[in-house]
Amino acid sequence: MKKFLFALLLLSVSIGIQAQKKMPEVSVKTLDGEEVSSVEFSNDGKPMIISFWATWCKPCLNELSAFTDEFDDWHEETGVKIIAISIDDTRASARVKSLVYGKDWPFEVYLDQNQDLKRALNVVNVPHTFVLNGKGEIVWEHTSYNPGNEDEVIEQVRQLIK
Amino acid sequence: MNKVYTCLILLLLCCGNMAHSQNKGTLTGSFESNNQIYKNDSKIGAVAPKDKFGSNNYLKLDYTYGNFKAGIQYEAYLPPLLGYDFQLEDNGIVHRFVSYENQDLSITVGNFYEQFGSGLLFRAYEDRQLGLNNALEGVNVKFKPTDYISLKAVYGKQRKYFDTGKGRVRGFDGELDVLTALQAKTNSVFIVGAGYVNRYQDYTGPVEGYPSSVDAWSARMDFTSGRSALQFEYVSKGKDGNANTPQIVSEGNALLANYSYTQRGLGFNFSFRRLENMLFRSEREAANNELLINYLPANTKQHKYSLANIYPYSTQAMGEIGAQIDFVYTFKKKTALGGKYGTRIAFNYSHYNKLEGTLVDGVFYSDSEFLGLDGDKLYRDFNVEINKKWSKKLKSTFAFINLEYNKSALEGGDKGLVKSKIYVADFLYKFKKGKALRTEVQYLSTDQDMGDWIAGALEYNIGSKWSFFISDMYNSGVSDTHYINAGGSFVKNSTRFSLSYGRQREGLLCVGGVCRMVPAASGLTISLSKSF
Repeated sequence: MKKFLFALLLLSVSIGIQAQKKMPEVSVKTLDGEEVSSVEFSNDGKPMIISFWATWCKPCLNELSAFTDEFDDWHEETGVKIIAISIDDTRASARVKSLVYGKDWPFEVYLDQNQDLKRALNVVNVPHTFVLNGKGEIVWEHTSYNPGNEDEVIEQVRQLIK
Repeated sequence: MNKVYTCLILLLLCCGNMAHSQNKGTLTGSFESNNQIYKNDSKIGAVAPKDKFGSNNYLKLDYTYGNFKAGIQYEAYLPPLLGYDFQLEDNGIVHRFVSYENQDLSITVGNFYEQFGSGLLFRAYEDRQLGLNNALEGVNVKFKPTDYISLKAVYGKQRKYFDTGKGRVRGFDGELDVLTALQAKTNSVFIVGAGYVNRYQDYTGPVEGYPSSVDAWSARMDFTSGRSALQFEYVSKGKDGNANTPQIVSEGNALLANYSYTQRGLGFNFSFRRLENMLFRSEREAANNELLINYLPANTKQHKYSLANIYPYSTQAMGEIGAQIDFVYTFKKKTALGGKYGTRIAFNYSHYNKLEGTLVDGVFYSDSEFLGLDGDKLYRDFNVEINKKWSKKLKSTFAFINLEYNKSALEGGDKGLVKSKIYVADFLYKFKKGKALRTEVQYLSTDQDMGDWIAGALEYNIGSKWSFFISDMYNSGVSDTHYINAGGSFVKNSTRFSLSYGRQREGLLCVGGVCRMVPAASGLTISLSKSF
C-alpha cells in the first residue's frame, strides 16, 4: 500500500507540475435554477476572472466588494468578465440571490450547490480566484484574499491583453 | 473489490503518464494538511491527548484523459484532530472512482457525491471541517436525453469513516424544464422535478412489521418570472427505525417553500420550512453525523462573526417549523444615505419552533395541526448589517444581532432560553503599497448562560502574500477567561501555509446546520494547503 502511494506521489509530481488546468465540464445552476455547463463560460475571446465564494465567508465578500468597486474601470480597460461561483449549499441558495441583487454586483453568478465544480478545480478553501485567458485556459490562480489582492488579479488580466 | 478499483486507477494513471508526453491527459489535485500540537490548559478545561498531537491530511488526485476521468482521495488521520470521531484513526485511499463523461451521459463507478433537488431527499457530500463524508460507493449515471430533461440514478453503500455502512441506497431523480420543452418564447423559467430513494438494511429483531426497506420520494417545482421566483419542495418518507429507539418511527415529511423578489439594488427572500420525522440514515445504528442520506440545513442565516456563532442553530430533523426573511438593499451612489460610494444594508429574521407533540419511548407523535406553531420556541434571530465605504482607504461593516437560543432544547442541560444581543464593528483601512489593517470589535450581552463576551481582532496584511493576526475572545460574564490566538499565514498562488497559537473554545461548530461538538483545546496549529 505504501509503495503504491509513493508511486502515485511520484506520478503526481512528474505530471502535475507540467499540467495546465483546463475548465472541466461540470453542471452548475443559474440564480433562476437552470442548469449550465461550466465549459459554456465565455467572454467572446476576452479574459475572465472566476472567483469561488460563500455567503458566510468574510474575506470572500471583501474580495467581491473590492471587485465591484473596480469593475467599471477594469471592464472599460480590458473587457474582462467576472464570474462568481457560490459554493453555498441549499441552505443559502435563496439568500445568494437576494444578496447578489441587493448588493447590485456586476458579476455573472452561479450556484455550485454540491461543490462539484469546486472539487473538479481542486479548490481547497474559499476565496479562490482564477484568471482565464481568451481561450478559456486557466493561466493564474490564487487562494485567500488580502485587501489589495485585486491589483494583482487585474495585473494578470492586463498581461493577457498585451 | 477495492483492489480492482485500485488497479484500474493505477492503470489509468500509468497510461496517462505515457499519454502525457503526447499532451493528451491532465493530472490535477489538491493537498490539505491540518495539524495541532496540544497542551493541557486547566483554565479552559482543555486536556491534551496522550501523544499531544493531531493531524488530518487529504491528498486528492484526478486524472482526465479525453472523456475518461479517474481519481482518488487519500486520507490520513494520525491521529485525528480533537473533536473528530476516533473511528477516523487510520489512513488509506478511501475515495476512488473511474468515470466516463460526454455532454449527454456520465457514468461513474466507485465513490461519488450527488444531490437530488435541494438535498432534502438525498445528498452525498464531503465537509472536512465537520469530518463528514457520506459519499456513495457504487454506480452513478446521469443522462440528458434532450436539453430540457435531466435524469440521475444512484446505487451503492455510503461511506462510514474508513468503511461503508450496512444499508444499501438506491435512487432516481428527474428534472424537466417545462417552458424549454414547450418551446415557449419567454424569459420565465419553470422547472419541475421528482425523486425517489430507497434504503434497505436487514432487520432480524423481534418487532413485528419493522421496516427493513424504507422508501422516500420528493416532488418539487421552481418558477421564475420577471422579478419574482417561487419554489416548493415536498418530501415524504416511510416508516423507519433508528438508534434512539427500539420502536418503529412513524412516517416523516418535509415541506419547503420559498418566494423571492429581486431587482437591481434590492433582494428579498421569504422561506418557510417544516420537518417531521425526517432523520434518514442508511444504517439504523448510525449516530452523530454518520450515514445521513438527506441534507437538512438550518434555515437561518450563517453568521460570519465569532460571537454570533456561540449560539448556532442546529436543525431539529424530528420536528421543527419556522421561516426566514432576508432583505438586502443598496442606497445608490450620490444619494443622501448612499454617499459617494453607496451604502449596503441587509436585514434578516428567522424563527423556529418545535413541533407540538409527545415523545413516547423515543418516538415522536405530532399532535399539532400541520401549520401549528404551538411548540416551544427553539431559535429566533433578528439581525441588521450595514456596509459602508467612506473613502478609497476606509471601509466599515456594522452589525447588530438579536438572538434567542433555546439551549436546553438544542444542546441539553438546564440553561433554558438564552437571550443575547451582539454588536459588531469592523473596519478595513488600506495603507500604501498593499498594506492593510482590519480591526474587529464585538460585544455580546446576555443575562443567561455564560453572561457577557467581548471579542476583538487585529489583522495586518502585507501584499497578497503575508497576513498576521491577533485575536481575543473574553468571557467577562462568568468564567473570566481569555481565548487569545495569534498567528500568520503565507500565500503564494494556490499554496497557503498558516501557523497559529492559542486557545479554542468548547462549543458547537456548525456548517450548514450540521454541527459537531468541538472540545476545548490549547496549542499550536499548523496548516498547509495546495491545489495543482
